[in-house]
Amino acid sequence: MTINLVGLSHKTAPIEIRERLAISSDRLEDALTSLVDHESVDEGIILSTCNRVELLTASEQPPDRIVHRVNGFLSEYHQLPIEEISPYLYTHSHQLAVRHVFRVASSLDSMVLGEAQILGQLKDAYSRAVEFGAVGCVLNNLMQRTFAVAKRVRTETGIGTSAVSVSHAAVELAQKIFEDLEDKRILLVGAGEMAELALKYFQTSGATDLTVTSRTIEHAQSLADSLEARAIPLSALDDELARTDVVLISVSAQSPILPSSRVAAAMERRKGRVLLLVDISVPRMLDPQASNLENVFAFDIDDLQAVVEANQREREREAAAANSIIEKEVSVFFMKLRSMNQGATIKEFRDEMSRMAEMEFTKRRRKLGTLSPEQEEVVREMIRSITNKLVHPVLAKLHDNSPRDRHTLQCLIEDVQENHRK
Amino acid sequence: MAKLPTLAFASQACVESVWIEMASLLLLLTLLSYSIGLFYSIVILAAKRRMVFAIPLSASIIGLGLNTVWIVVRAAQVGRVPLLGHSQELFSFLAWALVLYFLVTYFMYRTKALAAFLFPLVFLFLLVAWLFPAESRPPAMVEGVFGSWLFPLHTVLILLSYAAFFVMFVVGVMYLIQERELKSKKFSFVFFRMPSLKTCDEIGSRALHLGFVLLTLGMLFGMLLYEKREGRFWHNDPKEFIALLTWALYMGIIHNRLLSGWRGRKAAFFSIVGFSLIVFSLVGARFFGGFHAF
Repeated sequence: MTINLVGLSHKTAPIEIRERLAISSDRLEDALTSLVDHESVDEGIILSTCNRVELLTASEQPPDRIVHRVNGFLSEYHQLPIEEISPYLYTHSHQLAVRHVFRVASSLDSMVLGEAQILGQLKDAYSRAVEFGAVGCVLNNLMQRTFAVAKRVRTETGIGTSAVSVSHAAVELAQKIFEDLEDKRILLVGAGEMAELALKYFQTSGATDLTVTSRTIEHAQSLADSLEARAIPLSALDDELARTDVVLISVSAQSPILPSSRVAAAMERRKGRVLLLVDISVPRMLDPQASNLENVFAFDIDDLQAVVEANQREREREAAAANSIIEKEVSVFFMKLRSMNQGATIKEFRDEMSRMAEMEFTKRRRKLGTLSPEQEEVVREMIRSITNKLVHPVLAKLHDNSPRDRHTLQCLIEDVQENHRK
Repeated sequence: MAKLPTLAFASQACVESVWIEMASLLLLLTLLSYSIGLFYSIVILAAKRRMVFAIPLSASIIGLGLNTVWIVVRAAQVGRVPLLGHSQELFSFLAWALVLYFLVTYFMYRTKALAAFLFPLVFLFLLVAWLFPAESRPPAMVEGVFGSWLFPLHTVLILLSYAAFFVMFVVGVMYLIQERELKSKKFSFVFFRMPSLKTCDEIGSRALHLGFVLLTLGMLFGMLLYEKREGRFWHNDPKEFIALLTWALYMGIIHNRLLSGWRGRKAAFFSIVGFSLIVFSLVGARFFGGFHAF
């Protein structure tokens, strides 16, 4: 059985190609049934996301034939000439295919290193393939191992721990200051897209007490409605500054709307309660001097960007550790696969031998005349015992792991079966 | 019949030497556990790799157990509350209280980083305890107070309050380190392993309130003890002045916290001042002489 992978990703193909080769989820069933024909391809999983399309297959046939077959499938499915798509495709077989799957699942191949989404997408692709009966023993084993490896990488390395987006960095800083955001008041100044994104991130991180303010109250109100927040007019900003814990600022205006003196006045009313100000607007709407006030923590977009960059470097370092985990896991997986195959071969061989002996006995049974049940049992026992004794040295040979011996034995078994059928 | 007292004395001396050896072994084992705790908690905080906390955690639990046994053995050996007169008794009890406080905090807040900041103190205290073995006789000036039930209350409460203030000091330092990194916007990876500012502030304020209550009670019992013996509450002892100053300082911190919202930085800063005062009173008062000459 060989495992093969054909695919393309953001690393090999531009977006125009990726979108043309994507396989949409409502057409996945068709795609899987035509890919997994149970003649050349026995098992298959299709992963299609905005950054990658990957076709993972298990088959009895040699890799080059399968790769050819899968390429053909892609070209036929998308009705594109094969020459046009093949430059963007990569193919991996055996160990390399397994390593690639482990790397993808552990988010080492992702655009944003360590992002957690890809694992969910892969789990999804797997369960869809199971649903359509495209997965058998080999890919099943591989996927279970893949999910375990991804989990191991996530817990044993810091690849997914630090924030790598500006919104995430802002949330992380807020959590570093306030511990948890559930009982914290979050104020958003501005109603633009960027502002909305940042506030949503706070919401998914547990913040529930959200307020939106904007120069036009209608804008604030419509954003507030969509986020289950409350809207206040910009004129109420000073009162809100005295109450809130986190202020997100994302507006464009002629001059900074939050001069240091305004923040200082708010701090006076807050009796020193800690205030976090995050200004993601360009030009800056928050006076940088505000950072010097006691118990005020102020960050602008560049500060957050610097945090993100540092975290990215940290993730790259962690990726090295993740890679060494994956290398180990690949060899463990192949050892398991080999012993699995071996187990199947042993059972097959033993069954075949017993069946043959049984048939010979049945054929000649009549010539033995009448036997008492005890006698018949003795003869059967003798046949079983002779078969086992003959089979044993062959099986013992199978246990040493030399692939050449195993191959010879497998050929031998096939020959025996072939002869028997004749 | 005349021989009996000498026999009793001989066997008592023998028993005593066994006690002393046992106590010294226990103290050494405690020191060993705490050094393991110190070493691993710092390694875990500073290492690039993420590591499990099991080693320093079990080292501190085992160390606390050994330390407790030492205190019990010492009490049996001297036949009184082992909290007087000797650096050994005093500092080993302080180390014990700090580790206990750490473990309680750990199980409440899961603050691993606290260990790396607290264990240097724990280790230092126990090292002092180990380096300066106890004399067999307490200082002459305080003889006669052991019988009173007020004495153990006075010392235990005050030392427990010191431990609480030390914890406040340590989380204060952690707060200031993090605050500096947040203000300068340059983060070390240690930053992300420390508890949040809010958690530091909360642990600190709990330690402050607890420490203050314990200190107040401890001082009251001390005054009562003295009043019972000599009919006076106060006798111009240098340590009493420092204690009063310490009490006033912490009172001031609490007052300002409640009224003008002194939090974080200022509270953290004054916790460092308070810590210095306590260390001064623990170590420095020895040089002034007087009633509390230890």
